Formats: sequence, C-alpha cells, structure tokens
Amino acid sequence: MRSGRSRVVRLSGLVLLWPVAFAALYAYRPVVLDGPIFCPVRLGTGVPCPGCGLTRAFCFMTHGEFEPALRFNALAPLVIAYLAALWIYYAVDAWRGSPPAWPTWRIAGVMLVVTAAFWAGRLVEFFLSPDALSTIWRDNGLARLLRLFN
Amino acid sequence: MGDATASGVKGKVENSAMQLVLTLVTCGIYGVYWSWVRAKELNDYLGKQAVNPMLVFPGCLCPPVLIVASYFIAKATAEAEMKAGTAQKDDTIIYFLLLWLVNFVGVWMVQDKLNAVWQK
Repeated sequence: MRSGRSRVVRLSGLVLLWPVAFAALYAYRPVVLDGPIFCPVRLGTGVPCPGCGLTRAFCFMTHGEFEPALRFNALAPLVIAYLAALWIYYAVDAWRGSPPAWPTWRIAGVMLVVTAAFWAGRLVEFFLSPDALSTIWRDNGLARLLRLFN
Repeated sequence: MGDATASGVKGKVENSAMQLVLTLVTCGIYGVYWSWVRAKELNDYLGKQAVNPMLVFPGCLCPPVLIVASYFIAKATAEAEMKAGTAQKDDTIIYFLLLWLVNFVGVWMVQDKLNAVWQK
C-alpha cells in the first residue's frame, strides 16, 4: 500500500495532467502548422506514420476546430479515448494503491490492430496520390541531410 | 518462448546489435515491436505487470507516453537484473535516458542486459 503523501502526489499529478496538456496544445495552435517534424518515419522516409498529424489535430481540437482536426488525423478522437482510459487506469491505481484488473494486453492489441489498419489505409492513399514519389524523393532523410549542406 | 525456472519464465536471447540495426533502418517501428515483446518477457519473468502494454503501444502515436513506457521498461530491466543477480546496482536511470534520448542505443544496451539475465 502506498503512503498517503505518495498517493496525494500521484493523484495531484494525474489531475493536473489534462489541464496542462490542454493549455500547452491550446497555446501551440497558432504556430503548430510551422512546427518542426519529430516523427522518425516521416523524417527518414518522407512517408507519414499513423501518428502523423496528431499534434496538429489535438491543437485544432482545443480550439473547437474538429473538422480540420479530423483531416489531419482521423484517429485523433480514438487516441484521446485511449489516453483517457490510460488515465483512468493510473488514477484508479493511485487511488486504491493497486491497478485495476483490466485486460491490458487485449486493449492494447485491439488499438494496435486498429492503428495498423488505419496506417495501411493511409499508405494506400499516400501511394495513390500523384505526388507520392516526388514527396518521398524530396522529404526522405538523405535528401533532408543533403539540403542542410547546400 | 523461454523456459520456466524457479526465478521466472525467461525470455529469448536476441542478437542485440541486430535489434539496434533493425530499429534504425525501420525508423523506430521495430523499436515499438521490440518494446512490446520485451514488456511481455519482463512481465512474465517478474511475475507481475511491471510494464503496462497499454503504455507501450501508443508510444508511436503519442511521444510523451513513449517516455513513460521507456521508464517502466528501464525499471523492469534493472529489476530483472537484480533478480537474476547479473547486476549489483540499479541502472534504471541510465537505461531510461538511453531509451528515451537515443532509442536505438538504448534498445541495444537493454537487450544486451536482458540476454545476460536470460542466460543466467
């Protein structure tokens, strides 16, 4: 069993997590479209990963702009629901001192399958677009590196 | 999968350099698969949910969650080392920083340490 102080610290951290994340995403919204790319898949190959566009989607959602948010990444609402479930899991753990008996492997596995299917669709859409090859040629890691030295 | 012993179900010995190469050439996608498999092995070996799989998977979608998952994998690895007697001190922080900041190096190092645990 955790001590009372440790429990309060954990619960406070968890309670603060959402408003802090919301405030950060809300504040980032005006510059998010000019922000850097962190995705290693996108940086290395020029091809979008299943998570590409989520930061932009979350930022737009904090401003109530749901339609463009879904265009950036249609998985955004599902990812928020998943993160909320994770939050509940750790909130229960912090409150009771023991984690809830959830089928965590199954939940993560289902999310994994959904994401893989989403990525497959995204890749099909990407490679069917007329500028797919030019995008890869322009945005792959090697081309980015070469541009740095030119 | 690994064999069951008095100290827990052991995981599979993998070529740690190959894990590094695969993580690099797949731009980290293999790293997510690696984390998933290692989480299962560590949980089985330690006999508890040391690494929550719900944290491992969305790492590729939500980087802050990946940081938390890296911490739990690092912590569970250090715990497995102590349990097997292959390490005398807790190296959680080193593993965590490597997995977070230089992921492919962290994958290589943690795999190397886990191989020692599985071979003990």
